Amino acid sequence: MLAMRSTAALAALFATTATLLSSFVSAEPPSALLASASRNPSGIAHLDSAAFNSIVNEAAATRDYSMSILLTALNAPGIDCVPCKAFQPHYEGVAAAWKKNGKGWKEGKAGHYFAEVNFVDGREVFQQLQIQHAPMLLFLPPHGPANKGISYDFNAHGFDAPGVSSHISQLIGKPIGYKKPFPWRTAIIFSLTAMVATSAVLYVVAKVQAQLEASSGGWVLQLVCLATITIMCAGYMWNNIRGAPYMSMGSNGKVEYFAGGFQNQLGVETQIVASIYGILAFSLIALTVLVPTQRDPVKQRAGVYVWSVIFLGGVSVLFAVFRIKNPSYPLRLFL
Amino acid sequence: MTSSYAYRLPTFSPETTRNVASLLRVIIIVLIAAAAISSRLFAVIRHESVIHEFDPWFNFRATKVLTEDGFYRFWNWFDEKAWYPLGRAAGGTLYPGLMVTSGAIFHFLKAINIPVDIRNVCVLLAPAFSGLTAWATYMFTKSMKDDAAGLLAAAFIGIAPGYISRSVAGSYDNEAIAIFLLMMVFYLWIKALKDGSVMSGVACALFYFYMVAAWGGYVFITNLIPLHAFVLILMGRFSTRLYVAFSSYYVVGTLASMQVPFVGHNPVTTSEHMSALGVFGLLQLCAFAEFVRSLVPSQQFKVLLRSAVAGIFMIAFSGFVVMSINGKIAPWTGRFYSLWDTGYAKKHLPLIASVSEHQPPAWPAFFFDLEMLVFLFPAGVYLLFQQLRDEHVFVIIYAVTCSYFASVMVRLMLTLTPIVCVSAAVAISTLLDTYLDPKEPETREEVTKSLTDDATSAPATPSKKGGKKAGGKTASASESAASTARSHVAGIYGLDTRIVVSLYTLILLLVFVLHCTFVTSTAYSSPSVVLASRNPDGSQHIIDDFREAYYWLRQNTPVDAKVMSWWDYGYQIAGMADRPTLVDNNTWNNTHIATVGRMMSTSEEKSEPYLRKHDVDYVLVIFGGLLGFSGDDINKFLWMIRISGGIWPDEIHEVDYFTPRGEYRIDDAASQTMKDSLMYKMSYYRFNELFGGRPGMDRVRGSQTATQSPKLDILDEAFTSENWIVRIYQVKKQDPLGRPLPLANAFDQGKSIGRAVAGADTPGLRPVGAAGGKQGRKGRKATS
Repeated sequence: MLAMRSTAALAALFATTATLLSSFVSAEPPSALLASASRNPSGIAHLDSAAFNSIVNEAAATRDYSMSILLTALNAPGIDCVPCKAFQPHYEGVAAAWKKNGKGWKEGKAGHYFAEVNFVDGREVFQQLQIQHAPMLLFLPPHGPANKGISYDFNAHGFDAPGVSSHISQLIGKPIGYKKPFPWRTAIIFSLTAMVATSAVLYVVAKVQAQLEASSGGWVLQLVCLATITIMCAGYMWNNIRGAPYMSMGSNGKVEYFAGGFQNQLGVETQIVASIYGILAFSLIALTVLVPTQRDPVKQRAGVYVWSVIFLGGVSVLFAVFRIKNPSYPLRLFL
Repeated sequence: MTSSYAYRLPTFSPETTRNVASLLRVIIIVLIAAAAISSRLFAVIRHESVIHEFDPWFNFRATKVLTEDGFYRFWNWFDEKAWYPLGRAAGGTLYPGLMVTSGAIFHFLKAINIPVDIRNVCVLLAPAFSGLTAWATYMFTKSMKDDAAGLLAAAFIGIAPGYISRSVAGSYDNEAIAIFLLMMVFYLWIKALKDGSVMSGVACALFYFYMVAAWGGYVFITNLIPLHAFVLILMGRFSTRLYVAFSSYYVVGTLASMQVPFVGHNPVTTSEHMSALGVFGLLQLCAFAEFVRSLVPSQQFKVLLRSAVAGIFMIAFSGFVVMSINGKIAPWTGRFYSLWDTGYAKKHLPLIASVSEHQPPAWPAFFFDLEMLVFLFPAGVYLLFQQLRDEHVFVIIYAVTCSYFASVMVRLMLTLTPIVCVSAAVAISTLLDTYLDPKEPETREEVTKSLTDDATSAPATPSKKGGKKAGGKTASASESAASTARSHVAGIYGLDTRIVVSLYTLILLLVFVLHCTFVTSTAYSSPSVVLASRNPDGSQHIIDDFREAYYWLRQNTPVDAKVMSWWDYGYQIAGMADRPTLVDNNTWNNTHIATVGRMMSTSEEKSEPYLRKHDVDYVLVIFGGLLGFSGDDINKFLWMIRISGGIWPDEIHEVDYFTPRGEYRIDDAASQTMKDSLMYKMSYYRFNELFGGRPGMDRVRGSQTATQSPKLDILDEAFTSENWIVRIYQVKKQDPLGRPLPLANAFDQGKSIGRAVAGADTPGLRPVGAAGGKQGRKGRKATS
């Protein structure tokens, strides 16, 4: 039943593409894949289940070219596939490079073609290949059936176009010829920022040097140094390297600010801890530098006690926060 | 005028005060050193005098070569037991400073007729040097602020867990002496810079040489000191003192460092060392420009000169860029490069990324290692900013760069700790200075009053100095008021605030001591070759599986039996079992490590030819599933796959080891590739038998094992330690009839009713197999 329907669909598809293509190309027998690919500016053939069946599954014996097929889930209702969206421009970039550089691409003789199956159009393909997660990039050698594809290892080679390009180049034995497009936008933004920053720095340096000669230290420089130290000691680079989420949702729908475990943290944790450090350091500075310059004994005494309370309170909060991370930690102060 | 003092100080003559202070200083330093040493002895007291962890075992072995076979044999040592069949030219690829130090101590003790085992020298070297580090930190901080801050800094570094983690007794690693040398170099650099003295500069260079000979982390010094000099030049603080200090340090230090074979010509050919060379050149230009400027009066010419200096510097810099592009100057090595581009190592150097000490630390790690110092740190840096002398610039640069490095790599917490201690000591001692100082400032009314008094008795002021020295007691009221008004505009009123602040500062310091003791005793004093746990009744239970297994290897296998294991255990096997290994912690040959990873991660049929080609006799795996020991090979397995997949991307795919849902599992749902892998089979072989044939419980992964127990064809279980942590397998000899081993095994099992016939097939293997069975029973008995 299913087979019949699919063959019918296939026949219909062939008919339509044949009529479509005959107007463009006349000499070669038109291939459905090439037709679909030519319509796309980046040269990716968008396949639905039927097209996938006809081109990949049934025409495997006659297919003398290899294929890259991206199985992705874009705009699918109920599925928010962030990596799919992120990967799409990279894949398009690689395919476009091949469209430009692959010899005989337009005539169907390039030996390798790029295709894509979106979950919305090709739910059956996902079922057939038993794919549970997207995106997935399959490489099919010539005449190879779909389940014998080589899947691209995103963990090992990364989501970036150069990684994909070198992987496919290796498999087809020809260079894809992908070059990173010149990042005009970034370049313009960068040069503008650099100009502004340079003039700002020049201005600040002039100011700072005047201050330095008075041997008090430039406040901007001080601020930058102290902020760097505090943030770094609050584990900022961990978030950066591990890509920690900013916050997380607990089991009962509550927002959690602290990740469980000693070697784990959330983005917001760094900010909380860094601000505790900042408050503690500042209250110490206040006690040592600011308070003694107060010349009124009563006000000064009040200042000492207020800053002491802030300081000790901060320390006890810090201890309490640390005990969340390490429940077996025995020391505490008030809290 | 009594109101200007919050409390009375006893009056001594200045000489007595000075003598008492210096006596107290000496006593305090000695006490700090004693505290530093004794807090590092937990491991020795709890367990025994044993070398810890992994790398120290190689250092210990090298030290034994040095003391037993002499210096020349050590210098040219070729270690044929490591990296079978390649071997390792160990003498030229190690930092000899550590071994030479303990060798010298050993020979010195022997010369004065104190018989001591070299092992004890090695075990106690790190604590002894921590005492010296405390002293060096005292000297360094003293040059930043004063004696009081120095003593506080010494106390902090003596017990700060960040440093203790790498210097407990038995942790016989390069870092044991390197932190002392680091602080020494920095102290002498500051001294040379302050005095402009060639002698201090050369002393600094000699300690730098010692440092280069002792630890690869010397590159930090190589870059930090030039950076300091460079920043000083940018701030317009070029001086002849700087010129003399840096030139003498750089010339002597670089020439000396090139005498270490492992470093060789690196100081003139690699990027890591180029900044020092560049700053050296820049200093020469600056000195020349200063010289010419002093002779030439014309303003225009001075401008020309300055631009010439800048131009030459730019040309030299572009020359450096061109040469590094051409490959004349080696680029940054991956290890250092990965500090800047943090994603680099994971993608290109899985071996470096796999090492646990190269991971970034989360914030609890900072707090755990530094406790209150971590928030005193920025406060101290701020206070140094307020004065910003040349040496304070050094501390600030050190603080900023190193807090970044420590945030990227947990290992570099070690280099951050000294500067945190110094800054925190400055902060605390400034706080205490403010609140312990008995002098009270005048209130605003009093100031105006005293100023009017002062004006009337102006001729009396010149004599006020003597009065001030004697503590102000004998001085007349108006003199004292005048001196306070001028020199003491800021201060604290009243006794209560002083008492409160000093009291809680003291409490915080005590809490710091408690924290350090707690951390040291619970987290950093485990030798990791001997594990400890608690029995239900609270008594200590020692788990000694590693040494049990290594000694089994030592006593039951031929001397030349090759043992294959993951590289983590290479040094331990060489040190304790004295058997050749394929790979070890030196990790100089990525491909060889990947080969071992490949043998571990492929199926038996695929790995057998490689096992035979590498003459492997025994395979050793670490399995923590029974005991819940999380640092075992199944948890490290992903790195083996990644590293070997990096070399053979066509054969080993990381995805294959995950379930289709992308989970890393070991139960029935595990992927077939996972179940077929040699590592999986060796780990779970016969594991279910402990649970009466039902699926066992893996306490590390927290999941059940597969229902079907793995079968091994080419390996025989030779030994399993008491708690199953170490499992050793023997590679079976090839079948005498030339059949493939799986076939031969199937044949044997088919005829297993007639045991006599089957037993005669492989006579040599029986006793070993029997031993394994016995050990297995023993393990079961101990843990049930």
